[in-house]
Amino acid sequence: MIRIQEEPLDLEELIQATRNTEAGAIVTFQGTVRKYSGSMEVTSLIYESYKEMALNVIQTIVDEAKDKFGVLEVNVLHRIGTVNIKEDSVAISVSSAHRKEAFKACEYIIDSIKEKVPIWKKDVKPGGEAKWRD
Amino acid sequence: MKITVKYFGSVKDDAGREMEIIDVPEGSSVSSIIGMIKGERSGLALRKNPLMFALNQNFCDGNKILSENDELALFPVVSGG
Repeated sequence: MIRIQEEPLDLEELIQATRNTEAGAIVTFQGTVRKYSGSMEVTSLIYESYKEMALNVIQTIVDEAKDKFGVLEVNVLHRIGTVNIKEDSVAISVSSAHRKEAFKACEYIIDSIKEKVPIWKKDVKPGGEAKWRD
Repeated sequence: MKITVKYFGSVKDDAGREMEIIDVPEGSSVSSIIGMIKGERSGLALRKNPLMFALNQNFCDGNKILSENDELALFPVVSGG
């Protein structure tokens, strides 16, 4: 499951999709929106994606992670639109026979998403002013 | 020949549009067309932050030669997650 969506992320659905009869471990990572962007206070972030390309790039990253670490199931959800502080902007769940591979794959996937996937965000300040972060 | 150009993030604001269909000479490279677009859109020419690009939803080299109906996307450094 690879999805880019406006709706809040359903972690239970994500984890259930990651279960595998050969798995001895599931590692799930959530990226959440924090109150500060550097030293600036924000109330939310607004995410935008180049959706068709973003889905393809995430699929490539997932395939690489499976090849590199031999993990079983990988599922990725990313939100677009307004995401308030404390809410999840991204969630990744990985299952593997043993935990080390799942931890490594999960870290590889989030690092690669931040580096390569065409998604951008705007910081929204308490007054409502929004500014692209680039 | 015609190609589609899409703009995202702050680059969309700099270009003043989300997308457009433009006429480009046969044999044009990605870099030459980005240069042409900058010549017509002062917001993009004045942009200080890096400009990234993709052709048909793949990152590519600026020397890549465009074909009819290609989709060129211009956008800022990515910041997902």
